Amino acid sequence: MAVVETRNLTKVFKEGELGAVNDVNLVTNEGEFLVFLGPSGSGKTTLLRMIAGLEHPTAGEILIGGRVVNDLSPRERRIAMVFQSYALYPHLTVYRNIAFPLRAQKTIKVPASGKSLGFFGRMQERRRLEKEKVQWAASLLGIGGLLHRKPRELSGGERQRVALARAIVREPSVFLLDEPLSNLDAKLRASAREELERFHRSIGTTSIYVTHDQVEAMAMGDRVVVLNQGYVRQIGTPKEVYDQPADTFVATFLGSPPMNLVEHDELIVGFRPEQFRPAAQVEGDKVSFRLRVENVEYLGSEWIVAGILTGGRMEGKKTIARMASAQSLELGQTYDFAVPERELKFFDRSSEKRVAARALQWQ
Amino acid sequence: MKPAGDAETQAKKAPPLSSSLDKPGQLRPRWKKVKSAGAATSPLLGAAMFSPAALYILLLIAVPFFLAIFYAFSDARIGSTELHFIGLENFRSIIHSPSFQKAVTNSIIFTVVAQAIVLVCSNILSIALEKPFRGRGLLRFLILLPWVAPVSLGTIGWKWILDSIYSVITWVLVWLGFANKLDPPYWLGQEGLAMASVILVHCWRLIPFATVILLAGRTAIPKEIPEAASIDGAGFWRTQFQINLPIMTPILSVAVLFGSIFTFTDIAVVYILTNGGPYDSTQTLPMLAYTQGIQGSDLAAGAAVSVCLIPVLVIIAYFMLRMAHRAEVV
Repeated sequence: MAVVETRNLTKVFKEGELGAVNDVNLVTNEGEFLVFLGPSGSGKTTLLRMIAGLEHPTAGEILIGGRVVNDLSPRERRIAMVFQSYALYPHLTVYRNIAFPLRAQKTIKVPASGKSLGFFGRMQERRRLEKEKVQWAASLLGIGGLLHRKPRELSGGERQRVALARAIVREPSVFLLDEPLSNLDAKLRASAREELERFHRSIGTTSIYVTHDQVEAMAMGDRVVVLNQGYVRQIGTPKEVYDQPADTFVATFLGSPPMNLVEHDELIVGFRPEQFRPAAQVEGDKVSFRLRVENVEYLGSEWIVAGILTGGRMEGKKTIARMASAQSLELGQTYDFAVPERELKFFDRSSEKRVAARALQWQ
Repeated sequence: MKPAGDAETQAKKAPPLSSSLDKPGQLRPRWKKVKSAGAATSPLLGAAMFSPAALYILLLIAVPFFLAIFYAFSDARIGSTELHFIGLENFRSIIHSPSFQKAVTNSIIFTVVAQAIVLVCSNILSIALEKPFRGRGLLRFLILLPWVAPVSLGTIGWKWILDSIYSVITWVLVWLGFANKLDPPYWLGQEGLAMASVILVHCWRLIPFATVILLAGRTAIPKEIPEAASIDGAGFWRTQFQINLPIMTPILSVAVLFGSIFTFTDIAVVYILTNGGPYDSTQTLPMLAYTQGIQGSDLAAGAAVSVCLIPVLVIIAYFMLRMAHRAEVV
């Protein structure tokens, strides 16, 4: 087990171009499940590949377990990685796939008591220990029955488990996962996610997980690192990044539908769609709006109401509300909506960074 | 409602399609006739387009092929008008001739040794050329040149390089102190050296071809797979031998299949460099077939020698295709 740390980590692929990763500083906690979240091109995979040792940083340092590993090869970093495509060895059986890191790193050592066995005896003993280890990893993931199969004979979910078993078998100090669920269909993804969470709890290894899916990030992460254009926008627990977004990017990237943003003088004011409700349902201090309903979507457990603010200084601004029920609303009609005042988030209009809450003149 | 209305007005404007077809010659568009005329001549046209290729295969491949088989069982000779069927007599006599035995051994040695060297060298080259670097395009082009150049032209060049007096290789060796100026190696005049020279030229010719094939195979491997291997702790050699090469088996066997057949059936290199000598030391089956059949006027014997090539080539092809197929199934 180990802590991963990056100091001013930067990667520029072509000189003179924008960096893919810029000046990233972060420290994981022991045994933490850290999620890198960002849209495509945000540098999250490049950041992970630098930690893995597949990409050499342009500047900055990477530390694993307190040791600078910049110049160490991937094998010397004692990490395991699960790729988006799983990268199983297509010509090897599941057993040989899982055993590959054991043989490559010569992990399995015959204890000193086996000296008397002779060369072939020791080889047999090594194979026996290897088999035990592979079966342990396979049973941990419930693929004990697939060991003789080739990767192409497996379903997507089974392949993912083989990739996980291959990663876990050498008991790495850090686990790196690059969008391991994105190749699964939606139904399988939910169950695989749950399994992955259980898996992490049972092994407790520090893990870094890359995804562009905010649901995965919120559900799985102990903490979430939100990245955009190679910059870290915010690091925090799922609750922190959702409730106290550091800037407008984080505010709109997390949450579906995203946070409503309306401009107010030198500020941008944001509020979550689920906090934007008919005025009668909102108690305490509130800010009221007039909303002309343009579109209503029924999603089973909730309704998404899209409309345009009318009257006052917010005239013509598109906003979205998420409601438990919107049956009484009619298209084209205007209703009184409101947001509790404590749910308003304020951002500076030029820097787009969040600023302290303040009282505003709304009418 | 709107799109349906549009469809109705359209239907009123234009007469229904079926009615225009019901009255022949009246409303039928002109191109219909042209098309039906085209349909009538198209079998002929197709045959005409196809015939050059068919003729080429028939006259230049099929006829000589069956003629060779026919001659192999006869006593055909250049200048003789008579022809008798003599069964397996030709085969019996060539199998017992020392020069045929020598030619079989040489052909096998040439093919196996040249292919082994080609495989190793083209693998090294394909690894070197895989990652992008400055001037890679130019280097790839230069490496491909020996394959593009006509065999005879390249081989004549090599004949000069290996010349007994003007050999640049000898000059370099003398300059480096590895060879005696007064007793230089006769590259094409000594048995072992002549064989090595022929193998060298074969390799020079085939390495570019194999490199291009292997390069294609190597770039087809998803880059995550060697990356996963490096994270799993595999070094360069393990990644090459346990991951990349096994994945490339199908394409590798294609390169070996083509290379073997090119080497085994080649006559140009031996003909230009050594003419089979000295003392039959570089005699190969195609060369022997030519020497006996054309130069020696014994058409039947030459045909029998070349017919002996067929089973060998069929066996090579069978095993290579089976290997490729098995690797695909894996």
